[in-house]
Amino acid sequence: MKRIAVLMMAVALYACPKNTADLELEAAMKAIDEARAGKANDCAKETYQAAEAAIAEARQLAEDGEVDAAKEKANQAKSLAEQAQAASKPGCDQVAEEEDISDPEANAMTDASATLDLAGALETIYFDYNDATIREDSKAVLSRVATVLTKTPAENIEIEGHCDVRGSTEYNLHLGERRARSVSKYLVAQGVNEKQIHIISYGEERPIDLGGSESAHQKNRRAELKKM
Amino acid sequence: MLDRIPLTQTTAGRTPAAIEVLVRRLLFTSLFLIASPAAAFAQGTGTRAVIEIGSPDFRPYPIAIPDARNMAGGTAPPSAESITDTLRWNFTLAATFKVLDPKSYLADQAREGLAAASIKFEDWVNVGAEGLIKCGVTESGSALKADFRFFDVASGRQLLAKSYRGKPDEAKVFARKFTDEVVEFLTGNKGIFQTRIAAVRKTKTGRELWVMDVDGSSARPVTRNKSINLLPSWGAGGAELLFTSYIRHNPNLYRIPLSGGAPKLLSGERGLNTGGAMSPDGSKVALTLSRDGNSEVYVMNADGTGLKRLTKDWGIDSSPSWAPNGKRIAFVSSRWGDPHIFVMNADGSGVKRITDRGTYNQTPDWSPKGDLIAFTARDERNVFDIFTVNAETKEIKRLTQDQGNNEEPSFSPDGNHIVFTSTREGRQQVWVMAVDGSNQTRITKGGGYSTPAWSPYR
Repeated sequence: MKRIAVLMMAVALYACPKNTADLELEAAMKAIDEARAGKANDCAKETYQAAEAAIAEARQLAEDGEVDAAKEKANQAKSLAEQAQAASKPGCDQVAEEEDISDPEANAMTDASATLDLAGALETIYFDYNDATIREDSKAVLSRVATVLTKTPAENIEIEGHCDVRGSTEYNLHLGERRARSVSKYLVAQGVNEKQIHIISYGEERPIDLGGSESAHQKNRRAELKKM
Repeated sequence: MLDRIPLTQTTAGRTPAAIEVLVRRLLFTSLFLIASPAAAFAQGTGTRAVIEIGSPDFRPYPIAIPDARNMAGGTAPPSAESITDTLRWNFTLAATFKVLDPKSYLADQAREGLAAASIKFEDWVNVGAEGLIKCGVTESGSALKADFRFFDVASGRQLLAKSYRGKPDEAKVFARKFTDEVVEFLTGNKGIFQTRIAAVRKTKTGRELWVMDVDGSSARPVTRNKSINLLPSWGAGGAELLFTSYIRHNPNLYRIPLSGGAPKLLSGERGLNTGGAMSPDGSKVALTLSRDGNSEVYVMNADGTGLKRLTKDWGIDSSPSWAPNGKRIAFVSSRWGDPHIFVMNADGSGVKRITDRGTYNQTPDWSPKGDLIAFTARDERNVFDIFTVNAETKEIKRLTQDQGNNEEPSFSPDGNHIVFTSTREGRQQVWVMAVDGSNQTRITKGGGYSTPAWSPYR
């Protein structure tokens, strides 16, 4: 509703349609709606939220009469929404099945939480290409870790973020840290004290598998959780 | 065949300043110069021909480089061979030149000496040469004297003469010095053959910084700390490297003098301290930090004080590279989802996306000439290649294709060459090429190299 109001206002303010960001705003909103319909708000949460933030900014810019900046922001929102949509295309529920191939241990049922065995609960978790979102299949592992950490406040862990060898050294350092931070945020949201967690990124510098196949790349796109 | 070469008076001399003259370059029987600056040109002072690569009238300058000879007579020593090889390698890489095939030379090189009077210039004209470089070496004991001459073939005039004295193992150094003399004489731009290239090399224990000459020779490690040392970039004047290292269990930014000595901490913020890039005037360092919970580009004074944040964004912002005037910074951002090349003012304002195409563009390096930004892009086949983008027009040019993965470009200080990594021969090696993608040449052996960075002029 608010969206339509803004649009109408924008139309009213700028009689000449060529000098408004309406087309761009509309296209971006459509892309966001489609992304939400495709569950991108769950499956590619970070990118989807960035798209929403960008469209909000674009609307504000349009209201302020900053047409070029509004167009640019709207295009950015559209690009983000489309990427969020593309990332969630295979469907979130299928991710768990993929994980069976890449990390058979993730599904091994060990009730570590009951024994408060931190070392036993710490497992490596894996990520999608150029992405730092916690996959559905990792959530059970991280919940066990969170349970143990909340019950053992004297224990600390280090989360190492890693990437596959594709992409630049520097970008991968930052992507690796984003992965580690994503794990940290997940644990904190589960009640873990932030002070128990230290994160570090090694980018693509410490691969597990030196091969060039997709399965090698998948093994390298990971966060390792270690007792400090 | 007529070519147009603007001649520019670059220093105060007897001829009028800043003149452009049409010069006739007849392919085989040219007069190199027919205008008034000829006198100054012949004396090797003042006037220089500017031959811009990429200009519509550009034609490489054909140059003959016969074997360096032993001035004492008899077999040439290894130093002579080293000089010949280095000269030919240098002028082959320099895209303004074309080295004529030595097998085609007609001159009786056994009889020709260094003096103009002993040279039959007709023989050099007839192989298509416009320029001729001659070298003679004299070795006595552990001393080497190398005499270099550069001639304009059409007029038979000697344009440059230099003598260098030292030890036989300095043969390459002398050849590089003379190459730079010839390049500067003809183009007005400083030569790049005495500059160096830094890169990271994988070792059994980690990653170390290495430095080598432009042709890959004299490669040596700069760090030996067995930790992970990454992303070298050159400090002002080329006397030090900035780099990220895990020596203190956090990826901090350090500087290390090439003359030896311990690394000095430049930025030790919590989280990542990467991509240190010194501003062209040496006063500032742009870098990427994650201390505020996300990867953002910052700028600080060269001594590490006065930190200022330039970007504020949900995505990854990293890899800053300065425009040569220090007023703008190119960087990578994933704020649109996929990583792309952006440009902003040095205070963080005026952010503009520069790459409209592709879905994965990284590692921007701004040309010292100011017009182009070189970068790595992943194409639709998931192959990485080197491209340039014009910072104003956003026009994109592809420099590598169908030759393995090619990544991490870095401009030479004259803006005419690019160093990069390639896997086209298997392991990742360091390669160099001209800015138009021509003359791609591998310079390292052994492999395991990444993120090369070309030094500024010394």
